[in-house]
Amino acid sequence: MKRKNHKAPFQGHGRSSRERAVCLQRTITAIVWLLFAGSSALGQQKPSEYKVEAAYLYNFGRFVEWPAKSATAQTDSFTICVLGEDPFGPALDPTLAGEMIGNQKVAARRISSPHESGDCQILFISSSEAKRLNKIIEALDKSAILTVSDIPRFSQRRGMIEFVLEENRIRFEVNLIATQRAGLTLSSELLKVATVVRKNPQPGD
Amino acid sequence: MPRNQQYSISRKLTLMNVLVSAVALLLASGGFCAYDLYSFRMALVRNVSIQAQIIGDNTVSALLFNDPHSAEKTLSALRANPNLVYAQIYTRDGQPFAGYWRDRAGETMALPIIPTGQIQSNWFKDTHLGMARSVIFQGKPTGTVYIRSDLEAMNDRLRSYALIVVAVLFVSLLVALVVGLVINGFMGSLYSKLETGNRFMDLSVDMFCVAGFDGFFKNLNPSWHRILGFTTEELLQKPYVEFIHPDDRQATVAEIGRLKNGEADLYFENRYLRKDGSYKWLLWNAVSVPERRVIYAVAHDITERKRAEEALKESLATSRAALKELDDQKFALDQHAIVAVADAQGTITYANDKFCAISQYSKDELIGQDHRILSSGHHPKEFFQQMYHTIAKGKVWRGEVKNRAKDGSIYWLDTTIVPFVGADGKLRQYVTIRTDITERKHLEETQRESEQRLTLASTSGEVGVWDLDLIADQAWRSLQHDRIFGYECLLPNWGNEVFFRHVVPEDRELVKQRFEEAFRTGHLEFECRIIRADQAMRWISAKGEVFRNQQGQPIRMTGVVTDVTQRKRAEELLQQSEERHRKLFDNNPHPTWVFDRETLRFLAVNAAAVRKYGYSSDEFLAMTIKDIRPPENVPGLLESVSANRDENESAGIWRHRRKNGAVIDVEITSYVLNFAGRKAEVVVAVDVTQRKQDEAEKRKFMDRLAASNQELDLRNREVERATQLKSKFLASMSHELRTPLNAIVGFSDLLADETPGALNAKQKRFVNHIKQGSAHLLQLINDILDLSKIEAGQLELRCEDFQVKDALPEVLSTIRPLAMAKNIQVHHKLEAGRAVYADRVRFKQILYNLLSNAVKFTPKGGRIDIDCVEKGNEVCISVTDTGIGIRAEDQAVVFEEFRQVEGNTNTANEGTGLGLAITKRLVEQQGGKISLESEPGKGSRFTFTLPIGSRTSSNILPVIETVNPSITLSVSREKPLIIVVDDEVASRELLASYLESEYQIVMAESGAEALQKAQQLRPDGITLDLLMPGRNGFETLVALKQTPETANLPIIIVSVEDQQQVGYALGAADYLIKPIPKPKLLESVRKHVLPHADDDAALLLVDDDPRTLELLEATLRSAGYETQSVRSGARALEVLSSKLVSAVLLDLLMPGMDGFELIRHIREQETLQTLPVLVMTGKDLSSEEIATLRQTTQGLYIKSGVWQQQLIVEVGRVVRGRTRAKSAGQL
Repeated sequence: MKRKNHKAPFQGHGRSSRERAVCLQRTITAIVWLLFAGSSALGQQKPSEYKVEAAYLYNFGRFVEWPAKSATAQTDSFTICVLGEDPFGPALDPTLAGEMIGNQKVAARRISSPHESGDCQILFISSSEAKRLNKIIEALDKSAILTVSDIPRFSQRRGMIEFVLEENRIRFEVNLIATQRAGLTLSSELLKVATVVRKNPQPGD
Repeated sequence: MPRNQQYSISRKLTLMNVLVSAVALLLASGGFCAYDLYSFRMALVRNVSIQAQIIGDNTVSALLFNDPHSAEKTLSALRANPNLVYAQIYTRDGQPFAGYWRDRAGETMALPIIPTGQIQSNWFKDTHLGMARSVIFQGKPTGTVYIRSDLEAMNDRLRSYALIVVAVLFVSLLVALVVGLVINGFMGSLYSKLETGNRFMDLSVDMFCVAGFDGFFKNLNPSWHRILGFTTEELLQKPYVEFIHPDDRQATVAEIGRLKNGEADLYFENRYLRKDGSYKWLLWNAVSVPERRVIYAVAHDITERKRAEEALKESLATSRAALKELDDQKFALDQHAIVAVADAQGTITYANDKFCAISQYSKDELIGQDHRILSSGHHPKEFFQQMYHTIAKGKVWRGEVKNRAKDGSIYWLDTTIVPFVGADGKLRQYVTIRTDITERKHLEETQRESEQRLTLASTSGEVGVWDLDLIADQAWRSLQHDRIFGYECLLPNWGNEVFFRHVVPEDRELVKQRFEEAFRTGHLEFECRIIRADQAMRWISAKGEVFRNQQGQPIRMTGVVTDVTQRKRAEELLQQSEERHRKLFDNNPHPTWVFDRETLRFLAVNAAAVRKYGYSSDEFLAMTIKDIRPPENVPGLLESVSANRDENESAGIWRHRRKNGAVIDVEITSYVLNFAGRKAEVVVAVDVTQRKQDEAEKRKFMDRLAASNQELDLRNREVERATQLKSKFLASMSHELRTPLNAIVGFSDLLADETPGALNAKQKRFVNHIKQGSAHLLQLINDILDLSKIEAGQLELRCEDFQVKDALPEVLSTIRPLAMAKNIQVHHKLEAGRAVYADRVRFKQILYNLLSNAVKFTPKGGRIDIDCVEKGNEVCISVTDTGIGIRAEDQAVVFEEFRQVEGNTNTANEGTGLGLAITKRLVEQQGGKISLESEPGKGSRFTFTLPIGSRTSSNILPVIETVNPSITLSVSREKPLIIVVDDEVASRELLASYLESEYQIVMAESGAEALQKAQQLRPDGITLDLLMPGRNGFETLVALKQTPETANLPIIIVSVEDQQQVGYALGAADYLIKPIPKPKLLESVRKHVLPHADDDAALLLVDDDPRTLELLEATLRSAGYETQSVRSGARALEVLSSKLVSAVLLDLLMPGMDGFELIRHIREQETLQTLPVLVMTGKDLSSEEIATLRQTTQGLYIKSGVWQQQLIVEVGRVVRGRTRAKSAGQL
């Protein structure tokens, strides 16, 4: 499958059949969502926590090394993508405004499908995508994209970094197996502050 | 230094030593402590700073991800340093984030402020060091670290330093005291030794003494006695003052007093009494030791020096007096003369006042200048050269010099130059002493002028003065007067009568008239000729005045007379020369005239001008030079005249107009002269009209010549192009004609061989007709092409020396079958050593033509004889037959093209009618002749001659034989060929019998034979015995591997010897040990000797002609080869790049990329460099082309005649060779 490399694919009059299918799927999801929204809405986090998460997303970028040969390493922007419904609201863009990672300018982008993640360095998978998570992870297989999500058990489901709430503080768990598979290198500093680090069992572990 | 008489020097020294050491020690310790404390503080700051940085770096992630627990864990590492009291981490907003306390959790400090622009700040408070540092991550501030350290370590250090300093001070004081005491004791013993005398003192030449403050000597060395004469006892008894010269006593006592007062050491001089009453001068050096109340002193006898000084002083006084005298002299000289001093370079170093006065320069202006500033330029260069030469030799020069003062006035100096030569013999300086002699010189000059004037008067002013009394006819004359008339002294009488006697008779009348006129007018003036007393004729000029009495009667006449002969003669000469010039002008054959440069009017013209231009002389003089020009030329003329105004000569060609209006071209030469006081130009005009016409004609002729040359050149080029076109046409014709014929011949051959299928009898016959017809046509075309090549001069002959005998068999081998078919006997009488110089191939062609002709026209059972004899420089070769003969009238035309003798119905279709024509030309081209003798019915004899060749010359084989259509060497064979090499017959036979069933066998009984046969026959394999006489098996193997043709042959060693490793190392394909069973041998040979065409790779056929391609395909496929055909070079390259091909067979002439280019492309590619390439062509190739193809390809065929079978063999050879090479490469 070819990845789309252009940042903002221009969507003309004639949509392809696959895009139509995605659209339909999204509509159905929305309806189902609405039906069950009542109970799950209580579990939503407070806005300030999302603000912290937004800052964390940026900080992750500073502690992770992407493979030099990856397509995104050569561009001059560092893209943090949000897949699915954006839980950050207005928090993400101001947090990232004017920030740099290395000599790349940090920017946020919202996408609706993992296939659009070609130019993303970090992909935040919204909890709206919880049901499709396996497909998403599969679609991203081996791409040098740092996946972050607050979907429960994310880090055990081949996600890379999972936000968890611990003593009213946002912490995170790291799945090193997934990051290594994607060719990403995580700084030991980052691992130091992670609550859980999942990795391949090593001699002595 | 304080005077302290209570303490001895040594004690003072000791004290000082101790004090200084103590102070230095204190200072050093203080400085060291201060420095150490300072650096300790710096180190502490650095230490804490590093710790702060480490803490900061390690808590970045904790800060960023809001994990104070992790940060506190990092901070707890600080416990390792017991001096750290407290540490705190703040977030970026300044909120405390994590903390560390050494003792117990205490208060939290507010965020310390770090000055902007810095990342850390630190401060010392009385008990601690505080340090704040920003945490920077990836260039961005993330938080702040604060660390506080106590100063306990530093305080400990301070305390220990104080202890060390006290200890050191104490110890050093102790040491100093001990050392002082020791030195004191040593000094005391030294002094007492000195006072009681010691051997050093005794040895000294100088006078040593120890004198007491009491005025007596204490100790003296023997030198005292030697120098003063007194004994030591005598000297010791009296106070020493008494021995001192009374004049010096006071001074000495004063010096001693100073010594007693403790002044260290003193130098002074005084005189000491000797026993004989004289005094000695002594130089003293003394030192006092107050605490022992003695003086140590050394005296040196300086009497001699003093005496020398006195003498010097005296002589100085004398020389000073002499100098004074010199100064006086110099002053006197300065007062009198002009004095200057100059150095060797001539630069003035001194000038006295008088010098300045006369030169009008100030001293400052003069000094440092060269003497040349005074040069008047009056004297020649040699004058000064001589002067400097003299001075340089050190000699005094004297002379008179004219100089120029500052204001330019001139003055004369009587100059004496005295050079001073230095010790090295070189001129050091010179002094110039001068006296002003301007006045004298002036006088001298005046005198000389008056003398000159006098001399002048006496030689040229031959004026005689006379005073004639007209009444008495008596004249008073000056001496000069009579001298003019030729007398040495005055004549006693002179009067008119005497005068007239001297006048030449012809002039007497004129003179008389003048005299009469004079009486009237009062003035006399005439010139006349006289005869002098010595009979010489002279001209005189006389002038006079008449004086009258009161009645107006002339009574006296007085005047002068001068000899003007010289002037008159000059006038005459001038007149003569003018006459001559006039004649030259008038009689000049070219028109010549003079014109005024201002008015351009003619001033004079000669007769030639009058004749040439048609104007009379008077008409000319009324015209200007403008009038003889055509009007259009006038402006040019004016311009030219004004341009040449300043030049004295000019030349050029002009157009002039004659009176009758005709215009002529004239070449003008003119030069400026003064004509009767006017600035004029004389012009000589030469008529060049005819010359110009001639020139114009010549130019026209040259132009025509050039044009025709050009035309000629153009035609030449056309002819050249036509020739080129012709040869190109020939080349392409041969290709174009042969290619389709090839197809016809080839396919009919295939049909006749029944390759595509069986034919019935009729078809077979028809096909044979086609075959014969096309073969005949091919022969005809070959002949025509040959002939046209000869005609076009395109035939390339490669002449060489060779023996006729050697060339003959090849021809005979072709002819004999034909002859045998008609039962004709062919005989030849050839001696060895008949050599000719000719093209071997053409020679054979000639012979073949004649022989085939003979066979053709000789009835069955006839006879043909070939003869060869030498005749002078030629070799005659004749072919005689017993044929039908040629009629006399036909003999003349038989060598012409397309002529066949008529009436031979049964042979008419056999020949082309070109054979003899070609033969004749070939013979002639090689410098020979061909002739024919014949009798109808009996037979004919054709004889041709060729230049004789050198017999000794080597038999060089020709490059290529075009008569024989192929150059292949292989023999045709169905089964692969094996050479069995063994010296034993039985062994050989056995091996051969084993292999016979599958292989063709050739046997060789020695290594040499094997080599030769391998090269000749190109076998497919060799079995090789090792033990052989002569060249043994290994040597043969090496030789085979080194020969390119056989290098790839599989060689199987079959031997009783077991040297397998050597065999394989030398390149053997297999090594079998005798005795050997048949299956094993066959297995090995089968393995290594590859069968024909086992390569599945196809042959690539390249030809633009589809028929040829089809023919080749059919031929090669019938032999079992796979083929692929392409019709262009480009396509061939495509196939080659994508497909494995075993060989390429290509045509040379193709549209687009031709065969040569294709070969070049193939050879350029690395992978295709060894690909076999075979060339087939109908093109006639030049020798260069053949050479190129030989280098780059493996075989070459000319598409004519029968070639299919050879092609199959050759393809088999190269393809097998390649396969073998590949399998060898795999080993």
